[in-house]
Amino acid sequence: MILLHDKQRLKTIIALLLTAVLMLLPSANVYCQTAEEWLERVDENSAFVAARYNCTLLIHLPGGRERSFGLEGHVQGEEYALLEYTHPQRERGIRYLKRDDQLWIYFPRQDRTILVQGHMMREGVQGGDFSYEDMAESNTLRDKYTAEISSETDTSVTLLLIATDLSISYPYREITIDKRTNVAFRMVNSGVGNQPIKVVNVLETRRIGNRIFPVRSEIRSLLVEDKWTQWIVHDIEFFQRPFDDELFNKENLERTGG
Amino acid sequence: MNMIHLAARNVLRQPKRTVYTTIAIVVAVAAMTFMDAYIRGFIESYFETFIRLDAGHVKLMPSTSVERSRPTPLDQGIQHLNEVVRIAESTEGITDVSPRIRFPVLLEKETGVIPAMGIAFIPSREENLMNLQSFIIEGRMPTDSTDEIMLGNRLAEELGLGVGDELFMLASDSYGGLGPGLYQVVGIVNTGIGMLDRRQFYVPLSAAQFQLAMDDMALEVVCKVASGLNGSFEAKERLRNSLASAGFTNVSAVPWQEQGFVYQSVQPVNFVRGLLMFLLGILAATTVINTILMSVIERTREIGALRAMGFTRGTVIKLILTEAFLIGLVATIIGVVIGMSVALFLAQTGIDYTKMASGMDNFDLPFRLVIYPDPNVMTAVKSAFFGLLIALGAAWYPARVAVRLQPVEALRHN
Repeated sequence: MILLHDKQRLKTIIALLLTAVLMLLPSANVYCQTAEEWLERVDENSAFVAARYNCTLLIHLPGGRERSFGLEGHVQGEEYALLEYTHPQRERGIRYLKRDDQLWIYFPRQDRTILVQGHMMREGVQGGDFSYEDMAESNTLRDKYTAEISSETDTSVTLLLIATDLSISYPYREITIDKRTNVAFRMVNSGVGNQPIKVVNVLETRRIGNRIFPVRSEIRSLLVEDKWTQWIVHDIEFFQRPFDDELFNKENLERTGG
Repeated sequence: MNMIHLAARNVLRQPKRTVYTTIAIVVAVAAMTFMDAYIRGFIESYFETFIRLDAGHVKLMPSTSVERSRPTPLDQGIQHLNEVVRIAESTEGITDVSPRIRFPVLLEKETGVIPAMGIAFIPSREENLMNLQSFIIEGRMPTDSTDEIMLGNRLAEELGLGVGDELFMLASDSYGGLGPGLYQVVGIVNTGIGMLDRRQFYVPLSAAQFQLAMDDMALEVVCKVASGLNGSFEAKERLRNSLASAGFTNVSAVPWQEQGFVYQSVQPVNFVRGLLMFLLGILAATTVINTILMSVIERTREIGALRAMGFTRGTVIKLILTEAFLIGLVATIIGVVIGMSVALFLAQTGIDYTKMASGMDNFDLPFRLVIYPDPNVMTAVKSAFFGLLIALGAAWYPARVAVRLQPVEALRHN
């Protein structure tokens, strides 16, 4: 009887230990990491060789006015991107070409191309909260920032990022990372003096292949009330090989006939 | 009658002194006549330019802009524009109605950018308002519903553009996005107002509405009133009632006097006019006092004799004032004739300050540099009154001096 009782106790202990180990297994993946390691995970999750997607740019302006734009995009790494408006009619066919940190806009109705530079870089795309500067800059955080953990919970970790070059658009950033998905689901972008300028919130994610990808993000300017912009990705397809180089040259940007 | 006869004889007895007095009054009256006509012409030109190129007699604007006294942002313009224009046109006393949009852009040139102001209007509606066709120096006005542009002559020079060239521009649209526009230059205009010729261009309203995402919108609707400058307040009330009865309570009618500071800004000019009149009066009066006083002193014994013969103090004063009146009357007539003649002549030819201002490239004047004096009957009446007032006012003191002496003392005067 005693032996039986001990066996049962042993089983219980083993069960408890197994549960504890099982509970600790995923945690082994998310705990005990440095800020730099978290940053690397975020960058890796958002990195890809090439992708094609279509999305909606939804802009809400003070006073309740809203605008919606359809876009089709091709992106290759950090360096190249080509986006084209599919609607509305007034903007249809306007294209953006990003090559490294330069950004061109082609206006088909006028058959003119401009290089976005100077003060224009800080303007919002279509008057929204997402600036041309945001569009042109590289998404890789670890190249531009040093990081330290400012707070941590079981499910998330918040990093304070300080730019190595304080002249960039956001010298300070605070990002909150979902430990399970490695998605930075909240990002507070601050200017000189650590003054918050914009907040980016990921509203929706989707599993695509072996990663969780943000498909609906909201950007809010903290300088204007009742104004926000959403990027809503409807379809995205990742490629393991780069696109043809010709896709991202000016000739293709200025091609006629869609 | 005897008094006038006696006074006339006294005036002619000292011809040199009479001539000096007359000249002093003639100069003052002529200067006053001309100056009045010149300032009237200047102010009218200033108002006319403001009304023609900007304000209209009455301007319809979004109420929010009027309340906040600030330029209307593109996203807060007048909506349902066609309906608003129709209501304004059918309002009694309104002869012309034209919607406009003013929008800033940075125009690119080889060495940088030029800040410029676009004026979008319906060209066919502006013939009696802006009337720019009479200032075109090359080409023509843009036509309605086209992508054509007319540039100020100095802006065209700076951009290196001429008729037939194309101009691409990026404006900020009503949502804050990019509003691209490609226009063909069809005209060059020289309004004679530096700040406009250097910075403004003119495009059809429909093209700007598309460029700025402002479908069926404008920032202002300019109205011309049949009764002219002074009919603006009555027209304002009528327009306000018409718009309110159609439900457009968010659109305000603003007469030109209440737009900006143009009307108020002439108040200092009126003050300067008053000051100049005062100084001219003092100058002329000093000469008149001097000559009449000399005359009185020289005639002390004669005045004493007149008093001894029974002339009362009042009669002597009346005699001296009559003398001054006669001189003043003749001088005033001559002064008014000279002043009016010069003013009328220059009203035809104008006084051209263009050359004088050519060296002041960065000093913008909001009016044309050719001033046309504007003499009228009131100018002549005011000047005549001014001349007689100087003559009589200045003679009062010598007259009082003349009667202060007792007849016996006056007779002893050497």
